[in-house]
Amino acid sequence: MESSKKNFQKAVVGATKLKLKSEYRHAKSALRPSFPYGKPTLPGVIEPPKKQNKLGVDYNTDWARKPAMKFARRVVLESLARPVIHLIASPTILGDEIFQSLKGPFIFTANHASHLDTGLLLTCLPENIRSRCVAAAAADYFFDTPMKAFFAASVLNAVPMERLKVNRRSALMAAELIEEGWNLIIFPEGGRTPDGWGQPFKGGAAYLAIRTGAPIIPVHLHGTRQLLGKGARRLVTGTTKVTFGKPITPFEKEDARKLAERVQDAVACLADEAATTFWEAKKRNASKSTPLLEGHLDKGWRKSFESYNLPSPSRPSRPSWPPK
Amino acid sequence: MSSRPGFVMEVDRSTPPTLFWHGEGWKLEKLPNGSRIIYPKEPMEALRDPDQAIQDALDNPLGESEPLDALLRPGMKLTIAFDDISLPLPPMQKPDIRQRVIEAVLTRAANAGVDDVVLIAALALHRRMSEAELRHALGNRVYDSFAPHGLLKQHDAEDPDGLTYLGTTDKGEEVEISKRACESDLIVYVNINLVAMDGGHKSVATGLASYRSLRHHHNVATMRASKSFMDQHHSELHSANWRMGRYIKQQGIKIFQIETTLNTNTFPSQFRFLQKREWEWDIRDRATFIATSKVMGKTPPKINRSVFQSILSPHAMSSVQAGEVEAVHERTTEHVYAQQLVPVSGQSDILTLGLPYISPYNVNSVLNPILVACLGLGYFFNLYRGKPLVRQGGVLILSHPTTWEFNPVHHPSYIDFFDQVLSETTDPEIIQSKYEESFARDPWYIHLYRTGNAYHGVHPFYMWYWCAHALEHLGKVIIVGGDPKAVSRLGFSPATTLMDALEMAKDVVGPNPSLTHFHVPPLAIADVS
Amino acid sequence: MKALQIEKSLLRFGAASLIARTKGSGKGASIGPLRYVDIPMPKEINDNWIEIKPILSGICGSDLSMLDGKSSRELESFVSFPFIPGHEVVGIRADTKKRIVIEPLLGCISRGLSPCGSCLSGHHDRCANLAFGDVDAGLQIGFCKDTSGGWAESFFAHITQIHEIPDSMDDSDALLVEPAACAIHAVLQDLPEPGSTVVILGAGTLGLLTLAAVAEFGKPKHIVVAAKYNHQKQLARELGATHVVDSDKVQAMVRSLTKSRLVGDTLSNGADTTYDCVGSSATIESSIMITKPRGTLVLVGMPTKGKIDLTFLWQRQIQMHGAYTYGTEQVSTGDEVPGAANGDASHSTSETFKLAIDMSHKVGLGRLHSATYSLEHYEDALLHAGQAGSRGAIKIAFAPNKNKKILREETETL
Repeated sequence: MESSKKNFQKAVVGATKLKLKSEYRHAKSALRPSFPYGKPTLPGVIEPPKKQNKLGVDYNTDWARKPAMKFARRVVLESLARPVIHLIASPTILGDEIFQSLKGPFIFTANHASHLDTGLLLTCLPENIRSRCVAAAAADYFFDTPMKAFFAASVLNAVPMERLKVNRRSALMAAELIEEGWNLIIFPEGGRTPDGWGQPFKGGAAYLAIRTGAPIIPVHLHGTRQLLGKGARRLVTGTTKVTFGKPITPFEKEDARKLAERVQDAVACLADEAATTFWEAKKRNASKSTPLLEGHLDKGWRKSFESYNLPSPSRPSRPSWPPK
Repeated sequence: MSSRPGFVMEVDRSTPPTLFWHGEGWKLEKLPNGSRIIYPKEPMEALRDPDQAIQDALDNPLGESEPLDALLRPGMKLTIAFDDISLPLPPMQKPDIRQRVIEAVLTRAANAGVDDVVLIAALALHRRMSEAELRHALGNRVYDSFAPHGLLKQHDAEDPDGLTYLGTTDKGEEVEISKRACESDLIVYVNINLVAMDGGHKSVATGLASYRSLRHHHNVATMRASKSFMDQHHSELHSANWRMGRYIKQQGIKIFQIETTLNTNTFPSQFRFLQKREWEWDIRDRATFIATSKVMGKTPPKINRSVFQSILSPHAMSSVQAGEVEAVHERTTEHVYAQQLVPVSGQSDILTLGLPYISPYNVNSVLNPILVACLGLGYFFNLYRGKPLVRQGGVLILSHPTTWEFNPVHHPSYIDFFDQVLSETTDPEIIQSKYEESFARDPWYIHLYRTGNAYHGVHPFYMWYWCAHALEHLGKVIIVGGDPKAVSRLGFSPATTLMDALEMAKDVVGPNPSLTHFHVPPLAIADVS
Repeated sequence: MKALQIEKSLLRFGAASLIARTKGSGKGASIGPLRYVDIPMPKEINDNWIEIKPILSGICGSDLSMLDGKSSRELESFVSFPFIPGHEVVGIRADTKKRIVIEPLLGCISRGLSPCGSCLSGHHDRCANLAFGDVDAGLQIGFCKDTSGGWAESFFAHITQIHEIPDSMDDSDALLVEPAACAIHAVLQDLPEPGSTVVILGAGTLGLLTLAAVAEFGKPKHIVVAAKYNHQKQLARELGATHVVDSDKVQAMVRSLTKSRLVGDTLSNGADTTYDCVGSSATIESSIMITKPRGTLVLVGMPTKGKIDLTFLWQRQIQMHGAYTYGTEQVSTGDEVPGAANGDASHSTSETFKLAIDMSHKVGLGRLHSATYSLEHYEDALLHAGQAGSRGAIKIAFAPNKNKKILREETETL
């Protein structure tokens, strides 16, 4: 008796829910153009399909590498992005002569301080390389909404990459791209620096290098934090320095962690070079006294505070127009 | 990806309008809240390698049958009979299943050194196929190997020298079939099973038979006792065919039956919305619907018809089995049911159906009013197992333009049936007793059937008998959007809109009727409990 | 005397013809040659002519076609202007006050001539003395200026033209006697063989009456009637048609019934007898096509002018002839004479009018009478007659001695 009453109540509640659901869907549709001109409403009894998560790591960026898109991006990059970035960041490029003798594809690993980094690095690469570059971008940041994903894929030619762990799918995709001859830009820190100091390099780039055999080119980007750091509200112009290091290829049976350390080391050396001179940096490197990217302090305000003592190539300045 | 099963959905306020076929076109109709819509199962996965599946079936026959190779020997008479233009619907994209199977059989026959091979289109009293149609069904290789030598035949049920009278079954049914088939050491029958009615003993006992034989089961009493003819075990049509088939077997005629089933992937991708559920139509589906509806409203009907008749269906082979007729057909039926059965509980007062442009008898032709009746009351009404979807005395509402139009080449006797018979009565029994004989024996129709591409003189009668069960069961039939004169001639009621039709139906079934819409095609069979 | 009179006016005939062609039959009445007049009764002819007061006077197809200017001008020699039309009359003898119908043919006897061979044997229909004798030229009463006509309050009929009708007979039944006699005459000239197939094209007054006559006197297996309108089809079924079809479906029906094949548009077989009760070029041509080789084609009613392709009349060797009015008929008495050869079967001779009176009374042909008008409203009456088919009517009549506008509405069955 009791149970049948309960069942009845349950049924009533269920029916009411269905009814409400259908009413809600109906009301929602009242403002839209009617089917078939507008989207069909869902019958109350039909469970809405689980949205297939096509964003994030699973976002398919193949379309962005079709010839038409490549061409369009090239036009944008060459005629718009490069001049603008040169205007904002006035980069000084060091070590780019390595590209004259080497053949890609490469994995570019750089420190990461600003959204300008990818663009800056791209514009500083030789033409034949920058036109065949994909950028590994944080799946959770750049590919979380369709608009952002579209922008990242089309303009930056970004591919989604898991920040924290090596995701099988994204790694596989990146590896495939490299094997197809695409150069990959990757920021092993997994995100922009919050305080100016570096963060430990993750193993993704190293793993890809081991898997594909492509050489890693360590890159140091200097000064972008001052132009548009993490959390910055506005963009300022200034000067930057882009330093390319010598290609690093994995040793026999070297594991990804070790390789990642070597890469981090190389970038630290480049940072040193950017701050001082090539020779001084080399010497400090030889004596294993290159300043660590992460700095010496663990965390807290003092670390951030101290980052201001890092050598800076220039002070932010007002943009001058026309450019000199 | 596995296909989602068919299901019954209740209409509520947020249910989008429902697709109704409407001849060479379609409409969206908002059904009253609380109506039920029966959606068919999505197309099942096709065989990955149909050719290999055919080979496997030939090597591993079902029932008491040896593998095909063991049945073939030099010097034998081999007859390959195959289903005609009425299957499948719409005609399938190349290669046709018949081509695949027949090429496989012929390859083995060639290996076995069989010289005397004849192909027969088992068209019973249907129209003869054109060369293009035969080439489409059989492929050029088969056509060019046999047709020029006169070895590709079309069954002629009126050829006095081409038939053999075998005797009568224990129920007194006369059995008369193709002489060549009788004289063959082996008949290989190549079947396509689109609906559960097809195949089994019906293939030979009907496909290769004459009027003398067919009238024993193609009649009003048999059709009224077939509930439905899609359910072999409750179908007198099948019982009679099975008696005949067994009798043929007793006479020592050997049949190696090859049956195939198709999935319900019925429409090519440009018309994919036709087999999607409305709330899943994406922007492309909606755009196609709107564009096609708008365009078809502007273009002449003749052009629309030729566009529709040129649709080739992508349906694919979902099973193939060979061997002894009954064992094969049992397996075939399982496959058909697996694809098409949708469980439905209970009948309703009103059944609505949108009728498409095609039926088994108007491929490359016109769906004339008699065929409209047959498609609605004969075929779709009978797509049930257990009980009809609509209750006794209920109302059937069809949607079809039902124009007063006939193809004089294919359906000459239909024109006279419509003008001379239906103008006098629509009662199937009276029609059968008073008019059938004179149409069946009319020398002009026989001439056109034998030498032209015309359906036999008696064929329109069979169409009407096909409706007999529904006519007896239903309280009223309404055709929405049909030509009033043609609809009235059929004995049905014309209505301009679905809403009008529902109001008219209420006069018969009372206020607040229950309504079921059967969302076909793609085809389904309602398993009504 | 109030009457509707036709004058010889080329202009008016021309105008009527033009309007009839452009606007439809019966529309030209107001400017046509017919006029509603009040004239003195014509002078008495002699003692053999008796004054008749019409009760009902039908509008015949030939009247309409004359008023529409469609009939052949050759017929002008057989009329005398100005005349009063009306030859389908049921009326009252002024002297005895008995109800009678008239047989309007003006042959030798009524004209006071010594009878020609045809008239002597009772075949007035074949009489050629149509313009001589006591009265002026005129085929019939209704085309002759001396006799007046049915569309007047009064006219003269010769004593031999008068047939009394039974008291039990309805006026409407009597109205149909004259056209029924025409139909009987057409049918009995070539009575279809028992078991044969007969086709009747047209289901107006003459078509339906021919059907009634075929059903009454013959025993054909199939009587196919081509009808255009539903009320015509209904009446055709009532009067004994076995198959009633639309006119464009006749060929298919005849093909089915006679199990013919088709060669082009011609049937390999065909109807044994075809009655064309329309009389247009198109129906005559299609009649030829559906009549079997060596079959009979009868033109009942007055055909219109036009071109006809006679190739298949020649090739199929069809016997085509007209059927005009009435006279004396040979009727099989129905007594089978065992072993008798053709022609030896017992026959009797009878006046067509007697047969027509009996048939009309028996079958109740008055059902074809749809509406009645007074003379004054002749324009409406002619329009109604001209559009009879589409207005659900068959026979329209005047009641010359009454003056209500519409005296009989369409019968409720139609």
